[in-house]
Amino acid sequence: MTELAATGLTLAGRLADADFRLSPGELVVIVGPNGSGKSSLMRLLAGQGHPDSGSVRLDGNEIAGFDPRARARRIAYLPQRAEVAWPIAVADMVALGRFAFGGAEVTRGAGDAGQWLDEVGCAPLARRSTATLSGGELALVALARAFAAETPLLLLDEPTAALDPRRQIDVMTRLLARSRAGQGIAVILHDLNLAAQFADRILWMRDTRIVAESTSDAVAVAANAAAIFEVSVRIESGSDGRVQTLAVQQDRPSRSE
Amino acid sequence: MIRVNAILAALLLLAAMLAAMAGAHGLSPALLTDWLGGRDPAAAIILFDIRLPRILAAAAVGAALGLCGAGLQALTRNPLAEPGILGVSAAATLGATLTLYFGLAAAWSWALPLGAIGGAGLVTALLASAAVRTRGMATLILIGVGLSSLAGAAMALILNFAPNPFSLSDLVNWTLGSVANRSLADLGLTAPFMAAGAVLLLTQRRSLSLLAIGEEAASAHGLDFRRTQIAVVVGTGLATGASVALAGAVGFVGIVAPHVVRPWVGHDPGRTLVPAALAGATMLIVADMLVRLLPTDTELRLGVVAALAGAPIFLLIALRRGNVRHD
Repeated sequence: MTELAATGLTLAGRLADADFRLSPGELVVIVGPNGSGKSSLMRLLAGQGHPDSGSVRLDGNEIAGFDPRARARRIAYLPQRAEVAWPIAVADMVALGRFAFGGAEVTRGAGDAGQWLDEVGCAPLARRSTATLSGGELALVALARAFAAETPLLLLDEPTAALDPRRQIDVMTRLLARSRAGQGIAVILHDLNLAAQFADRILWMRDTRIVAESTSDAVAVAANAAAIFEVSVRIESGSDGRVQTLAVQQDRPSRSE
Repeated sequence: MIRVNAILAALLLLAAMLAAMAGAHGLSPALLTDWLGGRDPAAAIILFDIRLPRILAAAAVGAALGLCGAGLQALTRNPLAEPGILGVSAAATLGATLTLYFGLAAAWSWALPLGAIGGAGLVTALLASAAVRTRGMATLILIGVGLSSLAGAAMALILNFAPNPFSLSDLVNWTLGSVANRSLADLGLTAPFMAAGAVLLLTQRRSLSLLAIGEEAASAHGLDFRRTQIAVVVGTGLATGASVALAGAVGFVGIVAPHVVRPWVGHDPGRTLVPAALAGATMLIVADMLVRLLPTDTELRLGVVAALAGAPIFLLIALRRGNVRHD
């Protein structure tokens, strides 16, 4: 059981007093306006950079004390922007996800890349050069690389941002399946529709703070979305209370402050 | 991967054998057969005292520069990076010329190599201490450019105040780069530093492959970026300093050699290291052979040939790079 727990995370001007917990088997979605501190939070959770105050603990131990590879064998973190400096093969890029497990694993990973590429619907790309990929394809290959690490915990910063609607749903379906198989996944999203349909828990951020935590229950999502994004949402929910469709509209000017 | 290295090693061996036959009067295989048959005692002297040290020096310098170029390019994620970019070559050249200017090199034959390694070591230490404090690669490059300019200015000052035309030509010769008249003793003094630098660079092979996906993503997958940065900077300093000590300033091998072999290893920056060293060695052996074979009145310098062949390729890479989308 690998567990990630943060308390009182603060980073001057970017993050204030954030508490967070991620356990195996759950899919947590983090939402919030641009600049609300989502990426800063996730970066600190992944052990990238040091908070001004507060702590991140992985299995009870301070994350800063971990050897980088030991940490990377427990947590895979996908940064917001996928980049690749050289026109390496797609399969080789995916195999880099095995780095923390040793050189032999990277070599073997290049042969096994197909299984992780298949998860993101990109199996046919395996032999292509990364230089020939579109932005969305590169984002999917980077996600496959994070999958390849096969870590107990997975932190993903906007993995669906560059994707078409169908691919967004496919990716979220994969994340849900992975979480049901035991992986603990935290994912930053802007699409409230996806958040409401797939999340076990939703963290709502605003102005560098986590201001609310809710389930994906229709009533809770509507209330938090209205308060945090200053929009009104129209929701159709199924008989189980889960959101089926969610439409965002401009906030009514009559709303009282 | 292994096949690429085997082919390059075979090419290197072939180039070395050709170079052993190359003299002032063209290629003469007879020299090799004479030595093998033991017919001509002079053949052994020519081969082992004159040509072998020169071939080994060209190979060592080429390998060191090719390896350093590949390492720096992988670290900076920029195909135009080379040992010169961090100011290590310039500082090494300055160290060497200082010993020439003050007559130390004339008084004590090891002063010059030690001066070059000292210059490179000093800049390497400065860069390494800066590398601990700065995370961004652009900052490190700017520091290197600054150090390079400073060393260049000091070089100009020395040339400006050169006491007589003879010592001026001595200094200029050093900056042109050559492996002529090098002894096995010269090689013995510099080779350990090149070897130490090469080992340091090669330990970072896998880390440099991972760095292809950017600093942040690589760190997320377990890369200790600072350790890699320091190892590559120190390794480059040692190997480049020693190669400048041996041959003076020889440019562009560090850019061209990695560029040539990169497509053969799937553009993987870590897997580029060893082939780049082999290709660099072969390139300098061939260039030095050309220097010896071309009938010129004044001796043509290896550094000049390397620059004349390398600079256009540098420009080509830069222009082609300008055409592709890059962020």
